[in-house]
Amino acid sequence: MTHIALADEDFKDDHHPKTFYGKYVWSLDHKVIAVQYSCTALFVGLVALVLSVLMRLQLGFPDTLGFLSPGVYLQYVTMHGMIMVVYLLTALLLGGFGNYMIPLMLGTRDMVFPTLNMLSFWFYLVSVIVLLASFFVPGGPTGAGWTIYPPQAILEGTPGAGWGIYLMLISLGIFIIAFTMGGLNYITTILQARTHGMTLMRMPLTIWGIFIATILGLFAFPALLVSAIMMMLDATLGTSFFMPAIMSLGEPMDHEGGSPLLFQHLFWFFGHPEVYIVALPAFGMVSDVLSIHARKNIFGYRMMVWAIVIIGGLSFIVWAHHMYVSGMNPYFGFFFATSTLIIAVPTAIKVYNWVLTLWRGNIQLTVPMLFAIGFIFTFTHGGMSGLFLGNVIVDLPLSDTFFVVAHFHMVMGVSPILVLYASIYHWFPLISGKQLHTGMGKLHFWVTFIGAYSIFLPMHYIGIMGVPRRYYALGDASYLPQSVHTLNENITIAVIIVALAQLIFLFNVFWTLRYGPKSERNPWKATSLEWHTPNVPPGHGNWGDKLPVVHRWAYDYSVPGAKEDYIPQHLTDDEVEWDQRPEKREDSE
Amino acid sequence: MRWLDSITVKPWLPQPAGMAVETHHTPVPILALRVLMGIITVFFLLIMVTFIVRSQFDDFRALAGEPWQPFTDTGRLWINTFVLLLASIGMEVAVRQWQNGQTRLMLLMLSAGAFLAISFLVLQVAVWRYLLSLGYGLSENPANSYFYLFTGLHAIHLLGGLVALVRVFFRLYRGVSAERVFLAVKGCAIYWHYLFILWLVLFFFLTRTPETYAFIAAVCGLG
Amino acid sequence: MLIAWVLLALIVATVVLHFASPWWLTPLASNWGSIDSTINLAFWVTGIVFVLVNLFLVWVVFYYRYDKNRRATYDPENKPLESWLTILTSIGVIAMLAPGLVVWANFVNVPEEANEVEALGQQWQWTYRFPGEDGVLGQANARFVTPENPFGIDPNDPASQDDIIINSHRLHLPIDEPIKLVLRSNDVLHNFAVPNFRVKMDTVPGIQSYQWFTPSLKGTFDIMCMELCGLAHYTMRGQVIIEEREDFEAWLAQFPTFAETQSRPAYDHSAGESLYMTCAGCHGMDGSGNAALNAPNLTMLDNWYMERQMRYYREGIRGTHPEDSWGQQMVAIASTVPEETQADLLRYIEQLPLVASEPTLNGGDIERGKRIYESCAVCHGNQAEGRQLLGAPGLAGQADWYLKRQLEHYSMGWRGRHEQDQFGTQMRLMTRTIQSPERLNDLLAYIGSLQ
Repeated sequence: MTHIALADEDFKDDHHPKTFYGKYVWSLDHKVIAVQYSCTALFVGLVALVLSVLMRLQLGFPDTLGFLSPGVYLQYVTMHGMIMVVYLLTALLLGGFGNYMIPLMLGTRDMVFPTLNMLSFWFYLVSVIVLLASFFVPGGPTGAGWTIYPPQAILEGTPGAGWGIYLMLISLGIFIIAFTMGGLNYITTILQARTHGMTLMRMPLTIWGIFIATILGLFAFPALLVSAIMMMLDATLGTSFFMPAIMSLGEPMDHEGGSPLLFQHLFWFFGHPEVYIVALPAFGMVSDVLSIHARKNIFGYRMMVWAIVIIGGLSFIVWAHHMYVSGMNPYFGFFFATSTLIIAVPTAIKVYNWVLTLWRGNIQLTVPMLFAIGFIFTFTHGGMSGLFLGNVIVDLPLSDTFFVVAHFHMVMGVSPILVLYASIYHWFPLISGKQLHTGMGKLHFWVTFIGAYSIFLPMHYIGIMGVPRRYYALGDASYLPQSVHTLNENITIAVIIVALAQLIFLFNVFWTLRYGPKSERNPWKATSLEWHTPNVPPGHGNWGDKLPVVHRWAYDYSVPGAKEDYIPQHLTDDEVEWDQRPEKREDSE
Repeated sequence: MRWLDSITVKPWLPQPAGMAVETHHTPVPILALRVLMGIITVFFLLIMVTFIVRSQFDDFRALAGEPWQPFTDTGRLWINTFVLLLASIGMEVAVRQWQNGQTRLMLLMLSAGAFLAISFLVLQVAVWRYLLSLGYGLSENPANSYFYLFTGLHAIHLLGGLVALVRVFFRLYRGVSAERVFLAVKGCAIYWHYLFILWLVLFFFLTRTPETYAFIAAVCGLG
Repeated sequence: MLIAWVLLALIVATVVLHFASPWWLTPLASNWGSIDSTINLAFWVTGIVFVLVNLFLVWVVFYYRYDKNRRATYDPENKPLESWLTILTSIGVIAMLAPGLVVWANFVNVPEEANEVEALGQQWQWTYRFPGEDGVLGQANARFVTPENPFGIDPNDPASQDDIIINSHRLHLPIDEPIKLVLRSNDVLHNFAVPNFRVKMDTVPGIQSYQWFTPSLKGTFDIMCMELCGLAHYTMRGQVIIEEREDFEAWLAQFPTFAETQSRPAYDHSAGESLYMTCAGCHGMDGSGNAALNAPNLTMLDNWYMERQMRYYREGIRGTHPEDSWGQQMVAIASTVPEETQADLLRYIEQLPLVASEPTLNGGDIERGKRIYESCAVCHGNQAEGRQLLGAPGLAGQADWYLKRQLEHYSMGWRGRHEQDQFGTQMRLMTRTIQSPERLNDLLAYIGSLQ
């Protein structure tokens, strides 16, 4: 059975849902599952956003909220981090956009295993419920930091050391199962189910990003699962994988001989690729948005693809750069600093190519484009501060300070979220048939972009000063001037403004769904297949009776001689209207 | 290097004949199974790495080496290995019988594969009970912890395979044609072989002497 | 078009903030000026790239803005351009990495002549150990930890007997001498970081890690724990004091060796009893305290806690605030107790039968108090029984008016502000979470319910 055979299979409508439940709840349709994934992810994301505002209130205006005790603060820090990284970004980018875009951009009717796809969402939902349940158990959620390092994660003295950490580990386990089911689907669909003519190098970069990120996820999440299982055994059955002989709040524990560093190695073997699991789909999607709205082909497509592949590969051999000051053998620092800074090269090439895509383009400053340009700016900034932390000796004074917090928020908080917004504004007409309100969109962009930058830019500097992260209150450390506290207040105010600005977005979504005018079929004049389904939004089975056949890459914008400034992927040269037809531009088969 | 070719073409140029059509001879479910087995391999490999690191700590007491240690004599484990091998053979015969059109024999061998796999699990539990009776509890020593961890996780993966196999029986019972379930049967057989090989590796790994662990650790640079 | 101008403004703002920022590296107090140089180098390299790339972006966004009569250029790739950019980026990366690795090699290799000192991280305090005359730190392991041996030093190791135990959060070090700081933990991960020294390293239970530096500036510098170590992580602080060799030696001479800390003199009951007569006037013959005279209940206090407080009173660490008149009274009394017989007095008090304190406050909400107490429980125990290894006294059974006054004193800075007060910073940071008189009342009501 070849992929062609798969693409040629007749459209069997035997899955077509008949009832409301079949259509929207127990749906097998990748588009519905994608929306389910996205809504769940956005919901927990909102929870995490509220948590971050509460955290910032404590940092900016210490001791004003009675319920925000040191323990609660750490719980919020932990849940904010874990939710944002895993349950929002990973789920939204891969479960949401991955699910929606893969079949549409590749010209298939659905994922190759629709039932598995549905199960993936339901497992994800259960993992989210288990995670949120930890807010309601005795002791509350875990407050061990999103890195959940043992020994403290499972010892009294850390908030949520009992039920909180158990539920966190169980929830992660369920999430990993969900991700594996989804990921197997994405990979096999991309490898085996592409339509006629859709060679690997004709895939839009969005798909490349999702493809490599999924591979990273499938092979990195097992490390987290392993560490979660072993920590769970340490916590409940008294094994000593990660637990050495220690005291806990003055009482001796029964453990003997385990190694906390072993956990950290496992965790970061997952944790670093996780950064790219978030970043690569964002890279892909922003490439497409930039290209479409600049009416220009992506610059250096091949280099972009190779960079994604190389970054993905390298991301497995840099994990210990999170552990320079962990007490591991310091000689590891030489290797990991080198491998880390090597990643800077393909990443920089991606940035150059994004800017060079705009260069000599015809830039339409639509809302998605604004977000995408904002992304280039914040990502350059975050990438640069990454060069500080990757360089082992520079990391020494900066690690565990707010510099780190500022860096990773800039690079994997603000930047991917700007891309997510760019993508939502860009693909909303496809998903809903309506275009989000531009005025509200622009307002949302300006507040979010400038606000987020003014939150995280100064944060680098208090980090350089040596303000430690995960501190409930700074108190009166002698090396910190009063201006640090003033700055913290200002950052908190900026956080509140940015958080409120997200309400504009939510309002925009609901308002548009309800009152927004119907959008054009292909409002951005894009070439890729998803905009060329028989119905917009695409119906069940996506393509009607006949699958599209692809004749060109996804970036034929402003082709010299063509009448329109874009040529959809499924058109042959004969079907294109030419002002001046160039010589052969089409496949020779 | 077709893979390399396919990611070095210049996609904005017309594709030469043949380039656009990429054929994959692997059926989709089998491809998915292969990826899954890759993931499971990584999963076990990571635990093995931690095992080797942990084995070099002072408090680690290997389960084999001295005469009084439980796996200096591995007789029990060899019996289990033999049972799992039979299960794997049963599955393979089932696949071949189907190809010969012997549906009844296939069903019989499939049942044998399932039964032997369950027997293997029961025998593994017996090994656990044997270890416990000797006082080798889960948390007494990291070597014990790893033994239970590895065998337990292996058993969970086998149980997962059994669920898939039960689904095959269920579909056959519901009258889904044998052709349509064939890929599932074949997948189960591949998975059985995989778990057998995985068990051999774990078996080897868990019953070495401290010297061998020290050697492996030194070779891998994990000492 | 706005976006181009805004980006330009942000670039300018970023550069201006960088040069005008009042927040920058703290004054350097060690030999690690080379780390500062690598940071500055990184700033220049990345700063230039950041500004250039984004200025180009601004220009592109401005110059190639939408014009419906113009077409974008169709150029799929430009090999030479991409190659040049790759090469230039690689050069920039190497320029940052190579010097960084050289400095890292310096950090990894400790100079031969460095003096070893141990810093022990425990929830949530720093303490230290010097190797003593033999120059060797004795073996240690969490398994050996007892209330009398909080460091977990191996009592059978000959090398450990002369180790000098610094049971204080303040570490004195001689200037201009390289120090190899051996890092150890008996419970969870911590991180010994002095921002002015630039270097930091985790303490990991079960293994020893290290960092080295040569102090180069006299003064007092803050030690911050920089690895999340549980609820009171943010209160885990210490100080390092850099001074001349003579001053350092005088300081070190005050501290006992490990062997000395392990001996316990015989107890003279009658000496203790007669000494107690001085105290009985206020605290009562049975030690139950007297609210009218502002004397707290002594019967529930642990020996080790009273010993610490007596020392604090005597050394002017507690009770010196001008507003704290009861404290000043106690300072005067404490100075009359001879140091050598104090142990008899304290043991006499310790054996007094427990007398419960009468509650004097009312109206507190026990349930709300319980939630507030959760932060206290990690050190003082779930039943407020106290935890010696964490330096936290028992609270259950103490007079509520006394606890109230002490908590108020902590939050006002009347108590715990003295730099030598080992747990003062901790308590002052923790009492701030009480926030209001109502919540204080709730908390005391809950502690009162634990008797």
